[in-house]
Amino acid sequence: MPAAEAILTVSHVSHSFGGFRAVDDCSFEIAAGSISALIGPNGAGKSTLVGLIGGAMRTQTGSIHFAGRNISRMSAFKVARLGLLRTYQVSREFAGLTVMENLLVPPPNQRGESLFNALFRPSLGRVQDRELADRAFEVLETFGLLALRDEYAGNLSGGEKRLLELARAVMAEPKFMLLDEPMAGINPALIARLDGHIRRLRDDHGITFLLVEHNLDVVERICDRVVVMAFGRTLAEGQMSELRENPEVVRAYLGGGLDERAAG
Amino acid sequence: MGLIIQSVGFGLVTASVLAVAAVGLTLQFGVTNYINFAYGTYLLLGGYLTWTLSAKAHLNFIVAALLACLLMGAIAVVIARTVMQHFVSRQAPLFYLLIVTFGLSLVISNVIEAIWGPGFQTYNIAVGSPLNLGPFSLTPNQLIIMGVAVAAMLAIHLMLTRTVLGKAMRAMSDNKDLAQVSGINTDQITMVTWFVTGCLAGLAGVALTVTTVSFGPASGSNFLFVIFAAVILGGIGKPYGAMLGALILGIITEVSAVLVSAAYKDDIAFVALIVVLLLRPQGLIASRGRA
Amino acid sequence: MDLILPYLATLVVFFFIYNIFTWGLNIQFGYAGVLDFTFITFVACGAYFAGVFALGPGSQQNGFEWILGLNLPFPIALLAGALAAGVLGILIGLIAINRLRSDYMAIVTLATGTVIYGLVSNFTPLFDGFDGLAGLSPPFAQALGLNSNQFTYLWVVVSGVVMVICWFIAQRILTSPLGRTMRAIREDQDAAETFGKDTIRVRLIAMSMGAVLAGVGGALLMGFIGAFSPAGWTSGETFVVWAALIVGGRGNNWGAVVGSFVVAVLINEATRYIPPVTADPTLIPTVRNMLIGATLILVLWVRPQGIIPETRRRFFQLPLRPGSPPVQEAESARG
Repeated sequence: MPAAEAILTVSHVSHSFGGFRAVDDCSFEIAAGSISALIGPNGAGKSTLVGLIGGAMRTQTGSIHFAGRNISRMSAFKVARLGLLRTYQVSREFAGLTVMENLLVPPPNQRGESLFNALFRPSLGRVQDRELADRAFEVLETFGLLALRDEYAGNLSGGEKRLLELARAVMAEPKFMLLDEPMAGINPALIARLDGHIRRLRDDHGITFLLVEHNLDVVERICDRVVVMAFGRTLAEGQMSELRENPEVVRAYLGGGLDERAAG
Repeated sequence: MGLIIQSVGFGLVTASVLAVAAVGLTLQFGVTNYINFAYGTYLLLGGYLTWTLSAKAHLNFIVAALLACLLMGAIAVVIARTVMQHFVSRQAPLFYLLIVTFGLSLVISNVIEAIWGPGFQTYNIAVGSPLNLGPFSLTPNQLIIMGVAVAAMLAIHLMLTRTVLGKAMRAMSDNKDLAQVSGINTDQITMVTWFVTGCLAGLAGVALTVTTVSFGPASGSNFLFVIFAAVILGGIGKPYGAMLGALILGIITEVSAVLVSAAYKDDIAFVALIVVLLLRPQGLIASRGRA
Repeated sequence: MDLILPYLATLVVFFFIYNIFTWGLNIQFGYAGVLDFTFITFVACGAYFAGVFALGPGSQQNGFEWILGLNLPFPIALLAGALAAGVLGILIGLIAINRLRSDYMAIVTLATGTVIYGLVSNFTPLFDGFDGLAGLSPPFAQALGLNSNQFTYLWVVVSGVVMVICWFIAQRILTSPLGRTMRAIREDQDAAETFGKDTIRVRLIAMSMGAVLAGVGGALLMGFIGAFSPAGWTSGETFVVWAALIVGGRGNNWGAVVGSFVVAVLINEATRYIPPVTADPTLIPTVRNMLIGATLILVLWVRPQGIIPETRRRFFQLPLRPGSPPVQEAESARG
């Protein structure tokens, strides 16, 4: 089905902790420019897989390719430099930096980050900072965070921190965003705003999204394609409406069923 | 060759002292989730208390050592309750606790110096003539230390596997939040852990000060990082790993003292620590991650 | 007057040198969150290398021996000391800094410091073991024809000039994007990695730049005292710098100045001139050390951000586009 070419390819990936196989021969592809979701019951191996893709852990067997490069054994910052950006289940804002500074950290290739320039040519960093700050102002405005720009990120509310994470991610100019439960613990009004932002970023900036998400209504609303994981392997792929009819998927979500989970 | 085998015997003695200390440190770390940099001074304080009780108060040595261990347990609890708990309950960042224990080590070592003075102390215990046991030749004191250490390790093993307390400790070590929601009184277990590990520090301190000919206020500082090395070698927070780490390090350091030079004993332990950190930072015993 | 002025000048020299130390630790810990529990080792590295560059060759016949002994002018020796400390900072950093656990940094730095202390103390061919380096004639004094008091005043100027240079180094790093990235890594290393920051490299830069400042301060100490031995860099000295930074306010170089004045000058150096209690000569240093340890804990207890906390960077000066809320409004929005 993928019309566009795959930007992320996970092929035959397995990963064990001690004797426990968290990911077991898992394979799927994510099409460039899509908004996809990775769903599955607790313990399906989603978090492990996110860690493997993001470079937090090295892949034991199988391979992961991103934008034509094998990233299976790449460290996190190198994966990030290829344009793959992940977020975490809990907000990981730089608490002791202001909102504005949080946005100025991500941009790649900052000239002021070299020790030589910092010591001997500070104006280089200052000039670039001014450009970046102008962009950050725009981003903050679209995310409705401009009034908070000089507030310490640690003082923000839970929902504001989620918005900040997305705003901060935009500043990194990624090709691909891997969002680990972006909607966890935030109110429905904000969920609507967040999924609006995700769609806008895909449409305007061409960013591909992969969401690990429990809220299946959100998944159905914004995702083109869904990968279902259970017991460490890929169980099914397709559109959410098809998957709701798939008996195997329903069974994987033991007892409760898909709709109840979505409500919770 | 005989000398090397003999040094393995000494290695077992060193390993015994090290194991008691390392198990205490790693057990406390597993439960509280931060490293106690003042631990070396706990050891030293235990040694000094025993010395005072036996040499000054003229108590029977065994009684003095037991009392000192219990006192160290109590002191560890008091410090944890008054100082550490303040920061833990406010969810202070990890580095606060590390700096606080670091500062605590300076305070305690100077309290020791203020009370007992900067000079060296010696125990007035008969060394006894060495006994030949197979290839090893060890003094009765060394044998007693080994026996006590083995008994202590056995007691810890039984505590961890057979008692509710030990199971609660292991549960907290694995996942504190999960332990808490499972109905474990984590505050209480933490304090009991401080008591037990304080006692172990005291015991290790007694053993350390008895095995070294004389000891002074600075005696604990070098030993502290050998303890760290044993703990990291076995994997931080793992009591059985710490025992293994202690055994390996004890024998390596004593054998190398014969092969290279006794002056570089600590450096060998350090090299072992660095090699482990670079090659296998998670320790020899791999941890079971969560899915 | 003849007694008080040189005494005050000596305190000023120590104040200046401790400022440099505290800024160095601030770069390591205050900016980048590196728990360097052996800061004094870098000071010693700077002092020793400055010493063996400035001193003549040691000889076994005279009962003192050390490496090099190049008889070079003091400014070159100072640079050599700074460079050596910076290299040592990278070497220790390579072992201590990893992505696994932050407490490893503390353990490894502490262990490395202990081992280096043992090696330097026992291995006499390096820096003459426990006796240490001695006999460095006061730099510039002979050429300028200064007596010992005048030399002290000269050293106020020399260390003052060097201090100002160090201030610029520390401030330029702090206010640059590099400093911002260091602070981001301090807050959350993993998150910084996800933005493509090579956190180990950045922390190594912080480690070595902090060590360079330590080395510069150590070299100044060597030039001032003319001697340096293991008695001068016991692990307790590291606490002095830590306490100064925590008291003053980590992340803020002005705070570091206040802290180094309170801890290093008022508590540490000034009390050295209190006449010893005859019955117990070690009592005063012991009480002083207890005080420093207790201060460290107490400040984290009551005012963890220190006397002068890290300054909040505000972005008022940037051109606000039309339609953006005015600054005052932005301020009141959060109360």
